[in-house]
Amino acid sequence: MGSELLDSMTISAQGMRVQGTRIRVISENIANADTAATTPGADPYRRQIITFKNEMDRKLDLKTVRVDDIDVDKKSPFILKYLPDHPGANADGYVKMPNVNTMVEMMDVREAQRSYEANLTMIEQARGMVNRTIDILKN
Amino acid sequence: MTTENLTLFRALGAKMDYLNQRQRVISQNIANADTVGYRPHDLKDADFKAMLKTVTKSNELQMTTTDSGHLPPPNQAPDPKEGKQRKVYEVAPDGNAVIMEEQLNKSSRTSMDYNLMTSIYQKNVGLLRTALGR
Repeated sequence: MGSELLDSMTISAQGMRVQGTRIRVISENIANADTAATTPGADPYRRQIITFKNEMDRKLDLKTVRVDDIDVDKKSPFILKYLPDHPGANADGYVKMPNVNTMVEMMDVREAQRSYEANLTMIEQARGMVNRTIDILKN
Repeated sequence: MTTENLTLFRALGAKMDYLNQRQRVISQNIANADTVGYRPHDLKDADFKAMLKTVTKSNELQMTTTDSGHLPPPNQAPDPKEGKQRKVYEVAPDGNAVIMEEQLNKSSRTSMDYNLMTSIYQKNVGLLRTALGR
């Protein structure tokens, strides 16, 4: 008994870790929002997407959330920008810009933040329960 | 003598065990709030009525298991089964059905119940202390 609560804290901590990785990936996307193609034929920076999965951890003997994959977004198209002086401009003067929409990325950050805080709340609650159990021993 | 020999303490312990397990399941759900296709889990409602009967009718003789091969007596602590939550409010386009508010609500309720259990436990310990005159 009691280890269930510690397991719960491990699960939440792992949840916080993957949300941290998610924020890192989103930062990468936002930082590269203007990384255009440098030669006419080349592609610019491609937006990255992170996915999670719930996987069995044999060492801990419980399921924890893991990063499944960090893959590039091949579906959404590149944005074309008219910049004739740019080294990456094609014959018509258009440059391929990354398929990063800063607004979408900011929304993703917010969601990650919210999930992170929820996991933190769960850790605090589990800690409170452990403390109350210890309080039985007192007085 | 340990407090485990008293049926009331045993019942409290069983309920606390159940609440601990539930807290773990809810943590799991919240950690997977952004996992594609994840369905929230929950424990099946555990019925502690049969156990409480052994508390109120403590003059009755109780069966006990002395060997791992024995079947448990009917009025023992229920073993709650973990399963996928059947009713969900809504499912996100990615197949995830975790509603954060619902899960946090459940977890605070679990925490409150646990609080109640530890308080009752302490009260009873106090009662025993008074009886012992310490």
